[in-house]
Amino acid sequence: MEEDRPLTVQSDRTMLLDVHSPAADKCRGEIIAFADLVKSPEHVHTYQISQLSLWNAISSGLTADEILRRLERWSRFDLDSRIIFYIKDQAERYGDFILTELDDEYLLLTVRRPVFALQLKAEDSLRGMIEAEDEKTFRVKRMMRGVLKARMIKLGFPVDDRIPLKKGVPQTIKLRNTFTPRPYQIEAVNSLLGDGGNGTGYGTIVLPCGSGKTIAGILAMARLGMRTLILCPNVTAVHQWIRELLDKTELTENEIGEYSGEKKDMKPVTVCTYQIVTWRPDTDSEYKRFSLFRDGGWGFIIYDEVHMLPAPVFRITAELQAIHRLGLTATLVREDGREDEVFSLVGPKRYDTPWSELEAKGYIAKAYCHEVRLPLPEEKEIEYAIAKKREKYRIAAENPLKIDAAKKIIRKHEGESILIIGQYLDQLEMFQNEFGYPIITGATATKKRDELYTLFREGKVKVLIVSKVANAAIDLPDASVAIQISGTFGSRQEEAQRLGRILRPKSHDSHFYTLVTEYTEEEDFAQNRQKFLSEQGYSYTIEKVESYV
Amino acid sequence: MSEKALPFDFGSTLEDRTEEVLGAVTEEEGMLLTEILLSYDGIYPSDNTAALTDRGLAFSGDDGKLHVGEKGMKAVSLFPLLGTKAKRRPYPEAFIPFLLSAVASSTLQSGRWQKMITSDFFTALFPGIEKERIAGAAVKAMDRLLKLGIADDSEGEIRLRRPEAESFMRLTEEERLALIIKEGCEHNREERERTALYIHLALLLSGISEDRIEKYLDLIASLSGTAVPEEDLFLFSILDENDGIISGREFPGKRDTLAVSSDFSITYTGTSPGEIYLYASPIITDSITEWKLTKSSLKAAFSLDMTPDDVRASLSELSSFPLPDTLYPRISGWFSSFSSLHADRVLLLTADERNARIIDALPTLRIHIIGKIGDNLFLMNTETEPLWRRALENAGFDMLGPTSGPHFEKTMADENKLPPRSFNPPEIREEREIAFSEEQAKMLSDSTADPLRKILILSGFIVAEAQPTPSIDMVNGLYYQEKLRLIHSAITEGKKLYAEFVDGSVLVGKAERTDEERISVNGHLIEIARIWRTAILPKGIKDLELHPSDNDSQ
Repeated sequence: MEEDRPLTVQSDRTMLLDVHSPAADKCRGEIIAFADLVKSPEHVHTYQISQLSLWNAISSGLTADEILRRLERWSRFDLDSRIIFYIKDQAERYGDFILTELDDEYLLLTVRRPVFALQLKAEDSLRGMIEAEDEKTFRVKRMMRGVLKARMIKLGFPVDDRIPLKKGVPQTIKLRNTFTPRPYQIEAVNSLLGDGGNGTGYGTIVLPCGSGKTIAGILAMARLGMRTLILCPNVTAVHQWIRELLDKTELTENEIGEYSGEKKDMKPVTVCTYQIVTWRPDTDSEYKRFSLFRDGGWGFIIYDEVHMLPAPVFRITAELQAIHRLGLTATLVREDGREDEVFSLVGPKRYDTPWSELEAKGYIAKAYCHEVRLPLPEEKEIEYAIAKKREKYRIAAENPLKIDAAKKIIRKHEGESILIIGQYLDQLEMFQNEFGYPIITGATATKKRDELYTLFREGKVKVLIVSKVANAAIDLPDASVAIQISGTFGSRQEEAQRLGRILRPKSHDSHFYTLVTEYTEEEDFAQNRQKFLSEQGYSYTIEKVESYV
Repeated sequence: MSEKALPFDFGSTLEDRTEEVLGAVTEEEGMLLTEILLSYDGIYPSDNTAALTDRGLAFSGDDGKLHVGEKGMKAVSLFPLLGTKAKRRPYPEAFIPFLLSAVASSTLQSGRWQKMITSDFFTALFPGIEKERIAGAAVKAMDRLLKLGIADDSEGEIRLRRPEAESFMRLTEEERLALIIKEGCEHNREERERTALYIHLALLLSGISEDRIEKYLDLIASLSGTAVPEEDLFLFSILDENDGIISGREFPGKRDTLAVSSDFSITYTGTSPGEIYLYASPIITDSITEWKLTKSSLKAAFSLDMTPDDVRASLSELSSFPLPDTLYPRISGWFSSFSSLHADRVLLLTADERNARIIDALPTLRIHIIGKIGDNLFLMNTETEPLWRRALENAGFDMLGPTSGPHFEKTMADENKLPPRSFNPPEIREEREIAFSEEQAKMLSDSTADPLRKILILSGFIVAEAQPTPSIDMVNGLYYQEKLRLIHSAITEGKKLYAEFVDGSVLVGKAERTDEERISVNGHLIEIARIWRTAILPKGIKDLELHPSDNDSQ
C-alpha cells in the first residue's frame, strides 16, 4: 500500500488503515477524533464514521472542512462524493437544535427552523418531554436533559448542548511524583477534557485491561480538582481504587470514602459500587440511594468498567448531564447492544487505542492464547447427543476431562501465578476438591476475597480458582497464567476481561488457556468468544490436550 | 504502402525526427490511429487514412488492412477517443466472485434464489452501488450461471459446479460479462470476443456528457462490430452516471497487499484472487474488498473437494504476510468435523443367501460395492449402475428387474463446455507519448511565405525548419496542354491537386472535372485557364485554401 496514504475510505463510511504504513500512527491520530475504532487485527484496522462520531467531533470543535481535509490528506483513493455529502450534511445538522439555560427548573430548546419544531412535536418518543414556547422554542425540564438528548440522537436530531458543565465543589487532588503517567494516559485525558469548552469534559476512554485505566481516571480528577464520585462493579474494585488514590495522589484517608455494603462513608472523593446505588428493598420501590448522585456536590463522576453499567444507572446518569463524566472500559462490547446508550448518556468515546500497540510498546504483557481441545468422555456422548442446545453447552463446558487438562497446564507453568476461571459453581467446586486450591465465588465474603487476593498478589497462594466475580476490575499484577474452564456462552467481553487479568506487564510472557470440548457446541461458542480478541490481533493456537505431557 | 515508399523521402524524416513528426500528428489523426489499432475487424485504407500512411504512421498489411507502425504507436492513446480522462468510481470486480461464493455456500435455495439474492443479504455487500442495480444484475447473472452450467439447480438446491466455475474464472472479466450479458456467446467465439472488446472499451469511457454518450457507444460498436444494450452497461456497473456525466467504472489495478488477519478476515485492493470464492464468505467490496473465513464457508469448500491443505496453500500463495497460527488448526478442526460424517447416494441390492455368496465372490462386482450392511444386503454405486448390471447379467443374473423406489437423476454438466480465454484486452496508454503540438506547427508555418512549404508543414510533411522543401514537378500555367494532362492525372489517380493563382492564392484538394474548361476543387469552381501553377501532391496532403492575406496578417 502507498506509504504516505495509508487510509482507504469506503462508501459505507468504514475506513481501513494499513498499519504497516510508516504514516499509520499520524493518520490514526487525525482520524480518531471523528471515527470509532471497530477492530484492530494485525494488518488492517477498521474505523467507522457514524452520525454520532461526527456530531461528537463537531461538538468538540472540529469542522466538516477540517474532517474532509484530513480524509483527503490520508486517503489513497479519491473520496466518494456521497461521503463528502454525508459529512457536510451531518455537520450542518449539528446546530439545528440548541439547548441553553432558561431558569432553575427549565432549559430552553431552540430549533433553527419552524419545520423542525413541527417534527419534534410529531415524535411520540418526545411527548411529555418538551413544552412548546413559540414556533421555534421549547421548554425542557432540567432532569430530562440527558434522556431528551439520547432520544433525539436516536431520531437523528443532534442537540448542541451549550449549557456549561457545573464546577462542583472544589477539591485539591495533587499527584504524587512517585510515578510517571504514560503518554497514552495523558493523551486520553487530554481528549476527554479538551480545552474545557462546550462539548468537552465528558466521555468514555477505552484502554486495554492492565494498561492503567485507573491512572487515567486519577489524572482527570487531578486536572479537574473537584469532588469526585467513582462507581465500580464490585467491592474489591472499590478497595483497589482507594489503594491507588492513596498511592498516586496526596489525598488522605480522611478525604476518600467508601460507600459499599460494608461502609457508608461519604467523603470529597467517594468510591462506591453500582450494586449499592441501585439497591432497593423491592422491585416497586424507588432507588433511594440515587440521592447519593445528587447530594454530594460532585463535579466529576467516574464510571469504572462502564460496559457493566446497570440499566437503572442509565436513568440516573440521564439526570447528571451537568456534571463532568468519565466512563472507563477495556471492552465496550455489551452483549445487550446498549453501547450507544453509554455513549449518549455517559459520553462519547474520546480515546481508544489498539491493544497490539500497547503490547508492542511493553505497556501490557505479551500474551499467548491457547485453545486446548479435549474429547468428551464416551459416557457423556449419548447424554450430549440428546440434550437441548443450552444443556449441550453445559455438558461440554463441564467436561470432567478438563480437570486432567488443567493439571497438565498447571504442571507446565509450575511456580507461576495461575488463575483457574470458570462459570459453573459445581464445576469450580469439583476443581477445588480435586486440587485443593482456594476458591473465590459470589458467595465468598468480601473480607475473605480480599485476603485471598492479597495472598495471591504476595505469591503466597500460587493458584486461585475464581468464578465470574473475578471477570473484571480485579488487579492481580503477577498473574501470568489463566485457565478458562468455562464461560458465559459466547461472551466476547468476558473473554477479553478474563485475558485482561494477566495483562499487567511483567518480566515474562502471559498465557491464556481456554479448555474446549471438541466437536461440541463449545467450539462454536469459544470461537465467538474469541472474536473481540482476534479483532484486536490476538491469535489463538489450537492444541490437542494430548500435546500436554 | 511500406515505409520505404513514402513520398518526399519521408522515411528518413520519420527516422531522424520522430518526435517532431509525432508532434505534428493532430488529435484527429491520433484518434484515427487509435481506431485502427482497436478495431476488431480492422480498417481498410481510404482517403481518410492516406495522411497516416503517407507519413509512415500506419501501413497496409498483407491482409489489406491498416496496421499502426511502431512509431505511430506513440501517437496512439485512449483519450480523447474515449473521453476526457475524468475521475471514475471503482468497478465492482468482486461481483462475480461474491455471487459464486453465494452459490458455493448453498446459501441460495432452489425456487427462492431470486428473492434471496435481491435482499440485503447480497446487495449490502456493495455499498458503492445502488441496491436495485446490484439486485437486478445479480438476478440476471445468476440466471446465466445456471444456463451456462456453472450453477446447478436440479436437485432441489443450488450448487456450484467447481470445474465449470474454475473455467469461468480463468476468463477475463470482459469475457465473463460477455457470457452473462449476451446469450449464445458461449457458442460463438467471435461474438464473445467482440462483446468483450465492446465491454472493455465501454469501461474505459470517461467524462462523457449524457447527450453525447450515444455517439461514443456508436463508435465503440463500430470498433468492436457488436453492441450491448445501454441498460445492461448500467445494470452491470460497466457505465456509471454522476451529475449528468457518464464514465466507465475504473477496473481495479493489480492486487498489491493481501492480508489474512487473526480474525480470519482477508483484505486486499485490486483484482480478486482466482479461487477465494471457493472457501471464503464475502463481507464487502468497495475500494477494498474483504472476505472472511468462516465455518460455513469452509464447509462449502470441503463440499467442493477442497482440503485444509488446499486452502492453506492457496492463502499462503496469496498472502503478503505469514498466515495467523490459528488458521490451519482451526480449518483442520472443521474439516475433521466435516469428514466425520458423510452421506453417499447408493442403491440397495438384496440377494438371497446363495446369490449373495456369488456376488461376494465376483471380482467384476467388487469395485461397484460400496459396503455391506448384512449378509444379503449390498450398497451399490448409483453412478456405475449400468456397469454392475451388465456384470451381473454376464454372471448369469439375467432376471434382475428394474431398480425400484424414487428415481435420483444425476444431471450431467452442460455439454457445451465453457470456452477457454481468448480475449486479450488491448494495451494502450491513456495519453499520447508525444502530444500534438499545435503551436509548434503554427510557428513553423508562419515562418515561410512559400505556399507549397506552408502546405507541407500544415499537412505534417515538413516538421522542422531545417527540413528543405522537397522538389515537386510544378507545371507552369502557360503550358495549357501540359496543365490539362496533369490535372487529368491527378483526377484519375485520386491524388491531390495543387492550384496556384495569379493573385498568390492557393487551393489544394481533390479535383473534379465539371466541363471542358473548369474543374471543382474543395467546392470551388475554377477555370483551368486561370491556374498559374499546378502540381500533383500525395493523397495525404490536407485540403487547404491559402490567400496572400494569410501571410500579410502575420
